[in-house]
Amino acid sequence: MDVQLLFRIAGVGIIVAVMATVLKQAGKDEQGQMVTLVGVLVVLMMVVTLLGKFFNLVKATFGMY
Amino acid sequence: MTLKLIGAALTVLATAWIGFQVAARYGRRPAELRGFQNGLSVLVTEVEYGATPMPDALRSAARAAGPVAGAILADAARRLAEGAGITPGEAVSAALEERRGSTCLTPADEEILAALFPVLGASDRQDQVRHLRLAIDRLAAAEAEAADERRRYERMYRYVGVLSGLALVLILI
Repeated sequence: MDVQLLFRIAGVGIIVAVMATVLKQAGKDEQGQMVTLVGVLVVLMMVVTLLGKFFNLVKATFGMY
Repeated sequence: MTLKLIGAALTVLATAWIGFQVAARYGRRPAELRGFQNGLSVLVTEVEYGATPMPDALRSAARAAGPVAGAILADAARRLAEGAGITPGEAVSAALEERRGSTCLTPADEEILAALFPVLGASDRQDQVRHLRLAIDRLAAAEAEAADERRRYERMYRYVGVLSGLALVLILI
């Protein structure tokens, strides 16, 4: 487990937020929402691998095979 | 690590460049429309008061029309001077066709100019002047719309270019 992934997720969040704001200000609300959605999906992909590891750890700890 | 850094910089530069190119297109369109308006105003004068032969009229219009529109009008004048049996409208149409990719005009803008082609140099003076004036008015409306679009989208595309590069780097790194 490295801290780098956390920073990466935070960075994606910040950039997506700024991009959505910029698009919204230019009147392209749909594209802004699309960018937000894509950002959420990308972060979700990153988190899913971590969640998988976590569940494996839980299974290993309690011996649930 | 150094290689990664160089790659990241190149990615950001590339997407930022794409964004700036798209933004620059929005900046150039009002200037081109303004150039065509100036050129057509000169053409009105030439047709209405000068009764100048069309190649000469197009040449002097080209001088007043700025770089992009001027190049198209000058090209049309050249085609008209050397091509046997084409109308001025056909000459402008061919010149416009040849530079389609390099201008920032939308199909709607080209439609305004295309409405002129059947009339240019092929009907009486009042009719030509009326059509030219109409085209200038419609170009002015298109220019106002283009300026509005520029105000809204020019900065947005720059930001989106740079930011999408940063996002890509963050995701890939």
